[in-house]
Amino acid sequence: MRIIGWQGFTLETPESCDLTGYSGDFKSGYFRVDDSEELSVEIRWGTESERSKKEPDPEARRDTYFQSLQKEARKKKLSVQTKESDAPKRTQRPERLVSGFTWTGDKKAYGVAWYCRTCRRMTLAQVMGPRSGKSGIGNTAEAILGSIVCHSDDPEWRVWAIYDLQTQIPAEYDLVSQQLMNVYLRLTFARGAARLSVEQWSLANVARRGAYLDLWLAANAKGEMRQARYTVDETETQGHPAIALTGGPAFGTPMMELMKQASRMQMPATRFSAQAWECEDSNKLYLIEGMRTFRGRDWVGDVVRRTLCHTNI
Amino acid sequence: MIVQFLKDRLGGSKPKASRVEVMAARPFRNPAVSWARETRDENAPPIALLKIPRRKDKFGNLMAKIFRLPEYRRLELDEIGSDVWELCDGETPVESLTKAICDRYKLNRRQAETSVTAYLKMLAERNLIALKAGQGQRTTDARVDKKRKSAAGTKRHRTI
Repeated sequence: MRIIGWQGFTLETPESCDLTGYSGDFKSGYFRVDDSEELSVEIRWGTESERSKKEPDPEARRDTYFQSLQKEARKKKLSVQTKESDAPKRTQRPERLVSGFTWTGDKKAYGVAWYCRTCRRMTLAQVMGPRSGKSGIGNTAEAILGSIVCHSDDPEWRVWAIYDLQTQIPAEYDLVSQQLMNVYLRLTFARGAARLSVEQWSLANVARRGAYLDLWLAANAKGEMRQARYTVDETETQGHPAIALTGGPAFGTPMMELMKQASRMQMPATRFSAQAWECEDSNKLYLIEGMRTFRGRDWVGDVVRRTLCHTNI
Repeated sequence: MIVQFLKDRLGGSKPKASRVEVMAARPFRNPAVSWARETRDENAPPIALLKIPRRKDKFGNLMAKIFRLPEYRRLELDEIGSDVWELCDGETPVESLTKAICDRYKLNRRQAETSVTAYLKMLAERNLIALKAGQGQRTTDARVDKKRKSAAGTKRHRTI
């Protein structure tokens, strides 16, 4: 099974599944995972305001979804049969109000809507697959829906797991930009002026080909490292030789950014740190980098420890 | 209907193959292209060097005369491209080829599939390879068969 982690949600899917669509942020959004053939998983969520005293009703959310499905089907001249059903047992947790459903149209879907009192998110998750035939998705859907977690057990950290990248980022940091290319992944998180980025390159042996790691990264990194001047030290990470970079913002544009931060009454991010290593077992290069304020905590070391490289292969 | 007819006649609409058909197809190299592996960098494994003959039809001969074109054009493939090229033997389906690249470069299935199919498409557009439909597989479009037959019989190769 493969673990997918996105915006505080984690789920277990068959090995062939990967993230194929996303939008929104931690408060409200959507993401889709599929196996590029028939099986797909969709999760939509929205956060209830802290001011509202009444708990939202997942059945009402489900009915709204049924109405939108019917509307969509009418447009496409398809017929859709919607049905309330019991939610799989593993989705029923003490902190959740749960409502199950299925629908059959051009596909068959099994879904669950729930409201979580801990993270205050209303979530609608569904697994879609072929309408009939031997490859019925009932059991798979139940396993996937049952594995969905909407908040981490450790409230300080969130799991981010896509493609071959699996890491954890402090919960106070929000995803602000991402680059998900075929052999290069970058996730950048921010909290005020502080930034934290995770970069991963595949085909390390072909891309780097014996070049010094710091020089290679200086030419190829796209995160905070481009904005920094630093000194390089040798270290070790997860059993691999690694480099640790420490410094501050580079002259020129990054300095202008500091002025902007100060003018916005933000504490400017003036400390840079990063760690990079090549994992030969997974043939990947990793770079975890952060720009933080003078008093801000340096999360880079913790994120490095929580990033899996060869251990998950 | 007329537009469709014109598109078909002019070659505007290309036959579409499903993912399953593509993965079962077996790419084969254009026999007119000669190649060998050569070492260019001591630190790197040998790469494939292709010798692509120029067009030998009337137009090609005329152009060659005017511009004094050489008989062959040389093309160097990169490390991964060389491995893909070597596996285009007419026996290995795209799925196995992708799996081999996955294992060799430790890529995940989707990464390898995207890269390999894009690369094969590029090679096919340059008439360096063609795709045979997989065994026991029926192509849905008659044009696919027609194109495949013509690709096998002539020096110009086309892809499905």
